Amino acid sequence: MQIIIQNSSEIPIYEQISMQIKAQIVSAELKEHDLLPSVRGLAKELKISALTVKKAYDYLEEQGFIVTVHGKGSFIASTNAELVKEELRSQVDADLEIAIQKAKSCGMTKDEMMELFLLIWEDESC
Amino acid sequence: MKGLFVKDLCFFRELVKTLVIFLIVATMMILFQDFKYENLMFVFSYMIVCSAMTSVNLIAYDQDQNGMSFLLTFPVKKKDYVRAKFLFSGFVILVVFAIMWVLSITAITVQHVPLKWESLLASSGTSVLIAIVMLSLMLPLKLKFEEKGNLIMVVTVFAAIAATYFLSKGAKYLPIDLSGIGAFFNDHTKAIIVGVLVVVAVGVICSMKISERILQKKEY
Amino acid sequence: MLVKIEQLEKQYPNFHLDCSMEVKEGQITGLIGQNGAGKSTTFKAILDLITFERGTIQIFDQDCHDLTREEKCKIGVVLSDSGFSNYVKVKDVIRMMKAFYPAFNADDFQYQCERFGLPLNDKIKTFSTGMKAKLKILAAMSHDADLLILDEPTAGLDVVVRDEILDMLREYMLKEGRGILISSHIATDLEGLCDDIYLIDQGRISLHEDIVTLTECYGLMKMDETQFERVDKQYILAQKKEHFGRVCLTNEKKFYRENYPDIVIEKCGIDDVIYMTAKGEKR
Repeated sequence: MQIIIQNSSEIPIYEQISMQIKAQIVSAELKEHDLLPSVRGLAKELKISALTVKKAYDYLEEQGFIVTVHGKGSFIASTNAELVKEELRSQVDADLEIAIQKAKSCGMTKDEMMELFLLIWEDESC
Repeated sequence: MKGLFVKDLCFFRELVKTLVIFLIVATMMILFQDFKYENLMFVFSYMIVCSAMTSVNLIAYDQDQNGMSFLLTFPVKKKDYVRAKFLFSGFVILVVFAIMWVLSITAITVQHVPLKWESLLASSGTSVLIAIVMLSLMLPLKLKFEEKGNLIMVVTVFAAIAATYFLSKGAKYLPIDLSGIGAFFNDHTKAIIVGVLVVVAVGVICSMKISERILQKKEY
Repeated sequence: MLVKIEQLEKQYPNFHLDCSMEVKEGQITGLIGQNGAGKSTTFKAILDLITFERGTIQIFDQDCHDLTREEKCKIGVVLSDSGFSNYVKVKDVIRMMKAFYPAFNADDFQYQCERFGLPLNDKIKTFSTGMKAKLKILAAMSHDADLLILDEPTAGLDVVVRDEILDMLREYMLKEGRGILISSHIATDLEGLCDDIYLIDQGRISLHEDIVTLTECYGLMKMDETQFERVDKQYILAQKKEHFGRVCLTNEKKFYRENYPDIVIEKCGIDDVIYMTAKGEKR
């Protein structure tokens, strides 16, 4: 499992961790019943406090993505990928909404917005 | 306790050279001079007292660079520290005592001097007692006043000697017959020896208790 | 609970210490403060090296005066102003540690000394400040202690070695039931290591937060005077005048972000918190 955290980001570190784990569940890099690294272990790898990792795991558990068995560790729960995808889709939904609101507030038309959307969509680097 | 002993042994290496030089001088004085019991008494007590002082001076190594605070974080109690000090000093005195006995017996045999057990026992025994008394005085002083302890000790010993000297001088002019005391000593030798031993033992116990109190109250 | 300090008070002629804190199992607890703020005094009180007037200190649920030798074996200590004697060699240190601690791992200790460039046969007198610091930490970690009490362990270390040591501390924590109390006057040393942070200032604990709250809820807000006038000040902990207006420290970043989207809010580090609580006007 690979996680890259960005210390300078405004996104809280625990959220960066949980987002990346979710993404790996969607892309099936992490499968059902896979064992996640221990809290202290991941904290050591990422050079961050263990409490932060614990918060990320708690958050994931709350949302049903992982299950923690006391004394054994945390495992990927038997969620189906569709559910995860749905979760991510709603995030995209929310982000788009903000973008459209901003576009409207500065007087962009629907066509202009679509054009911009396609431009960004087809940009290789994106 | 074992750890404290090992630590003292490590430090002792630093000082052992001086003690060895003393021992060589002592050997020469005993073996290559005409054997006299008075000389032996002097060399014997000098060596024993020297070794006791050397082992007490190891405290300076513990105290160097504020080392005591770190030392007390090891798995030892404060009373262990005091006990280990006595134990180690006792060990050093014992070793030197044994060496001196071997030397004395060798000298007596080589120079064909009649062997006087009593005299030998008396002189070696007295020197050990003196060493133990010095040790009991020095240890709390060193713990309490650190380096200044030495100075206080020297002043005290000097004052004691001076006081004894003036008292004995002054006694002549007093209407007391000192020879009576001498006679008393001769009549009750055994009782006096026992008495002295008891006093020294009580002194050692007091010294240990006081040292422990000093360590408890001291701020590191 | 590994360590529990309740209302510890210690009076010196020009200094009064008044502190309560806890070190929990499974956590690294950091005590951060300027030189002379009372860190070492607190540590020495925990280790029964000084007397104190009031309060109680418990280690492993035992009064700190009554620890047995076995319990003391379970504590590894680094003191900032004291260490191994200058007159011994690392080899002697190994001999002593072996005699003091039944659980001392001599092979590993020797390996670590070699790894960190500490010659076994040289007297400690010849060591540099950094080498002495390394030796102290290695010794504290060498005997399978449950609790490490480390007073300024990173002082005098260069960045590379410091990071290596911090990594070793993280590795040490992998075993369950362990805990560390660590102090430093440089906050950045301990950010990303500690789970629980105490700030100490002039003998008093001025702040206690866990690291998640600290990074998530605390923030620095920058605003001009008119913004400052109208802003709700209930979650502003300290503020300071600057040439552009005001800098404010808050522990409710979210509240201001939602209610005052035009205010610049920055992430803040422990150093900022220390600076603001020391130099800013408190509410």
